[in-house]
Amino acid sequence: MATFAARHAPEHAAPPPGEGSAFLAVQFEDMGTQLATGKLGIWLFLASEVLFFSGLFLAYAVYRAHHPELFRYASLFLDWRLGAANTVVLVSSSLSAAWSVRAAQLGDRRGLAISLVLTLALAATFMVVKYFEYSHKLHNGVGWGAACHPSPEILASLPAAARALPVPEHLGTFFSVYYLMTGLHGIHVLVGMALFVWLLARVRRGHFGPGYWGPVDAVALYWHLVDMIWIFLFPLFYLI
Amino acid sequence: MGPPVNVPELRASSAHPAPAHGAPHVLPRSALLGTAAALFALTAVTVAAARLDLGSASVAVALAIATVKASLVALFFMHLRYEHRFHLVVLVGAVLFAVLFGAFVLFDTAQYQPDLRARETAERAKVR
Repeated sequence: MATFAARHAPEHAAPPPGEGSAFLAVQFEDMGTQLATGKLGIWLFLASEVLFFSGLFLAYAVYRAHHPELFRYASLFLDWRLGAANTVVLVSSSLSAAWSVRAAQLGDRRGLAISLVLTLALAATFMVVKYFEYSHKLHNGVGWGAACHPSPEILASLPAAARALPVPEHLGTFFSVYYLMTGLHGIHVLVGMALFVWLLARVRRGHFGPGYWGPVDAVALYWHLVDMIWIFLFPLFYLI
Repeated sequence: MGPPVNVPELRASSAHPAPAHGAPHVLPRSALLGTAAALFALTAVTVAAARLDLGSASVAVALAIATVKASLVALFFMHLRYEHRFHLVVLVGAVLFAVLFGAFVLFDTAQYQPDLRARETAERAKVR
């Protein structure tokens, strides 16, 4: 704490709010209790997120268990290279999010701002790749449920072995699960991006430092969960 | 009788992060970079494993690699390895309940699968 105050002494006459107690909520005795309570709250929220996604993972498991051939065929419509690229992008964003927590704890405001901007940029990159994937499919008639009528062009782009097969009757079922799972995940990415913008606005106001970094940690924890879910979605959809 | 604990003077004196909860664990750079390197390597491994023809074992292999990756994220990026044990219990508890949920649903749907197929065949015959 002292080093942070000393480093910023010329710019701030008063101790920077990042020092802590300015952000102590009325219901807490001290910053330590507030931090520990906030952390437990976030972990309980993440547990509810795991259960929230588990329903969709289960829909996937049931359909795949009973229709393995449909999943093998339908996954050929997905480009594993784009999925792998997005995995690298999201893992990198998790690294920079973890880095931002470290920077906040050490009172490195510049490092905190840079790592948050980097995380935001990587999250945006993920969504841009996803946008190209979705629009390519939807332009070629690969929608969900009954709205799945692949165009001759996209069918021609499949591997030769798949082109020889007739288009399965319930192809849209796979894409219902695909759009629901990756779509819900994408919504989580967008929410994460909004949270990073909020953190950045607070970094500008000098809110975070060694005495107060709970919100940075909370958003990073949420972001890591979003990364973890993608770690499962990637092999389950792209690498069948 | 002493004053109630929640007086401003006392609160001001506890401006330092409470040592009762321990100082924040700051992850070293090497731990962060090492975790990321392992995650990139395992992404390559999972892609390579998918190209091998492992038959029905391929799902199990893919899920095993993904579980290792997710554990690395949880233990290091989410610093569960250094946290209060209860946070690990919360996460693992949620995953266990999800697995329990999945096991029962899979048993159940497997049970009525033959009836479903029989009905489908019957309906097709009717259309013809």
